[in-house]
Amino acid sequence: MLKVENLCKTFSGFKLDNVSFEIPAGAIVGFIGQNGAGKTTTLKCIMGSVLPDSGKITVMGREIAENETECKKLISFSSGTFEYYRNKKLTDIIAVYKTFFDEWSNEDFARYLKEFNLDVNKRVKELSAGMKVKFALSLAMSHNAKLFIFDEPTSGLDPIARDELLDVFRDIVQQGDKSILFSTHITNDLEKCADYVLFIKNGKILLEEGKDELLESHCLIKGEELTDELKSRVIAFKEHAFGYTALIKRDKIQSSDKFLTEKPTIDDIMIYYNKEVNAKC
Amino acid sequence: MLKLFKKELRLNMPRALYLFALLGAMIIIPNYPYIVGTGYSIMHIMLYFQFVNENRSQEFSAILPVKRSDIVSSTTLVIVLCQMLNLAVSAILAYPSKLLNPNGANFVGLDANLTFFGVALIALAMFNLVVIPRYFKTGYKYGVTLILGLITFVLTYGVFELLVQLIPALTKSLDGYDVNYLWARLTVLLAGVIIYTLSTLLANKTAIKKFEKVNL
Repeated sequence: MLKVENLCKTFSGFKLDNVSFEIPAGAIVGFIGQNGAGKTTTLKCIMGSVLPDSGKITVMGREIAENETECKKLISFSSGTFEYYRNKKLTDIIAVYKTFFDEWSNEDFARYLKEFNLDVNKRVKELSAGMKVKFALSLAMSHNAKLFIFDEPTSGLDPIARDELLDVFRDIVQQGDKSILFSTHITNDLEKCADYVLFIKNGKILLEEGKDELLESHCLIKGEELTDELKSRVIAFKEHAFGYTALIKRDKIQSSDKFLTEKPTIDDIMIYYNKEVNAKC
Repeated sequence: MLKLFKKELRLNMPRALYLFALLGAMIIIPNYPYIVGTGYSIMHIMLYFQFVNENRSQEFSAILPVKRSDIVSSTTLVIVLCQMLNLAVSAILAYPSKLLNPNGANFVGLDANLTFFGVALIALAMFNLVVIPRYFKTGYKYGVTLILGLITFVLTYGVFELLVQLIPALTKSLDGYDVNYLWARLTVLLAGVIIYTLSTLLANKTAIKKFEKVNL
């Protein structure tokens, strides 16, 4: 569905370094990384708002740089909230927005409005943070796009609205011909609905794996004494008064090891990879 | 591109801003430098740029299925619209202006004749050449750009005005309403139309090249 190859972009003090990944059709991909890691820059490069120094981005086999308008019709982008035209009524914005999409569906849009309880006669500035997110997503999801790119779509939403939204995500990809790439800090959302996890650190893709495989292949270990030999096998560790906690790849565990093991969360994986004692970046 | 143009008018141009076009009616003030009325189109453009920034309109346009070049061209069209509406109001009131001035003559500048409109178009053309490419170096900074544009506009008009007032042959042929020199005034108007059209197209083309390199 989406293929990003060797994407590079240098700003003063930040570099997107040979970012490559692929989003298969029918998948929900969670894009994680700490603030400033390069998530938004990568997404903006895909949308053409930020111009890459080099690299190739293709959507359904078509290179974006050469087929900008056609490709953007296949993509639906939402920056997570709606901070445009604050003094305009939603009806005015909708009337303009839909003219750009041949496959705009009034029925789908009306359904999302009802589902999200949105009043189109309100002005953007009268919407709460959560309502702005819902409005942005309603616009993005109503023109039959094939690839949905959302930059932190769930960050302004309460738990109930987040859960509803994740259900909508699952509905979108159910047919197998649409994909979602969304960046988030709420890794709990990934555990609920993502098929793949993409982890970026300092402008480089560190992990690109199926979510279940990622969780299965790592292990959180706890013990009292962290030896130098064990330190060399773990990805990263935290030492405290009662011992240590570390993240290790399951294939690095030896039968002679004596420590407690726990299944990690995506949060744990993100935190320990960020500490990167032995992680190759 | 027309869809983007309509978007600009609907989302970035509140109806009240069109009142600036009505300031082209200053052409009916007896003994007045009529170019001041035309100059208010610059204020109209400044407020449009302000709305574009406030609304984060360029960022919104970037997520739409449009080419970057169309974002530039639609903005250029809005600028042309602001200028042409203003000049159209002046043109409609040019004849009443002649009637309102004692003996039909304006003592502080060009009369409201074809020369005035030709020179105003040339001054606006120079304004566009400065402003449109410079604005699209960033897509949002317009303060210094508009000041430079205004200076260019005033200087261009000022030079032509001085030439017409100081050279008797030009005063005779280009100022006033003498039908024997209608051809001369028509020539200036035609030159204005051609220069305005070519300059605005060139400004748009240069702006597109600059905007292709901007990170939004």
